[in-house]
Amino acid sequence: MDFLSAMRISTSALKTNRTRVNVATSNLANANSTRGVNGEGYKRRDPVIESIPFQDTMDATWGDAKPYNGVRVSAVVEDQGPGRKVFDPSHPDADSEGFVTYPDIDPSHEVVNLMSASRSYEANATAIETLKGMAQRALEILR
Amino acid sequence: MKLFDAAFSTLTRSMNVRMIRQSMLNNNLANVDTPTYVPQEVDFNAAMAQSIPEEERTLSGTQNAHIEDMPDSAELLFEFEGGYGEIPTFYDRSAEPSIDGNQVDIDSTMSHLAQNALQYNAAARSIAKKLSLLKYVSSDGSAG
Repeated sequence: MDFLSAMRISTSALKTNRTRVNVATSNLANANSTRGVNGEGYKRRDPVIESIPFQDTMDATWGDAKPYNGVRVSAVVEDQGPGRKVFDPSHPDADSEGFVTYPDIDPSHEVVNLMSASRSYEANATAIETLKGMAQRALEILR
Repeated sequence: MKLFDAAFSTLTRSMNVRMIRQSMLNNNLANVDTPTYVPQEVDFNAAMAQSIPEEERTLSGTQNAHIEDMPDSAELLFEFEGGYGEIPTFYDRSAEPSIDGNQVDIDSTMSHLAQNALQYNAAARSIAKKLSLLKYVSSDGSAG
């Protein structure tokens, strides 16, 4: 495990958290969208986060815990719920009974996700800074 | 006393183990929002103990005043080409799991990261210092 693999792990976390921010902002922006792709209404999206399993590339034997190789968004799933129905017969997307289906998006929920992702992003950026300091010290041995 | 004594390989080993620990801590931090994730840790003391044969872990002599030579670095189990050897790792379940089963404590992870980096830097500094001592004597004690 060298500097680059540690760097890769933290970078995977940066990527993951950026995706979380993208998904949350997309949900926020589309809280009142009644049309999405392929004619259906927009559905709330949720990222599924998973650890990347370890590939044994090092000649080390490990104790109880085998290391992971970071984190990734394995899928972005759409909310399968019925959505939020609002009675508004004059709306162009109203159904035969006069209800418009909006995506089931709770802005406060999305903002909490946004904050959590941005804090995680900061923490991992700090970890990368620390790592850079270590690399610097190791290179100073050569001086 | 050899030119590159046991302290060199001990310091190198410690830098290796610290780097692995840093990777693991980075990984714990990366997985701070992964459901059911249990953080992993390196048992640093055990990892260091494995690099030195048991009978050679202390300086011993017939009298307390005698100090024997440290073992030659080549006799240590850890060799530069030998890779990392065995790294004792374990799951750290000390923190209270959150509602999604994640057990990463972000505060202690951040402080462990900082501590570990400091100790890595200290080891790197010690090696640099030892090398500069060698440089000093090899240049006849002149400024070199």
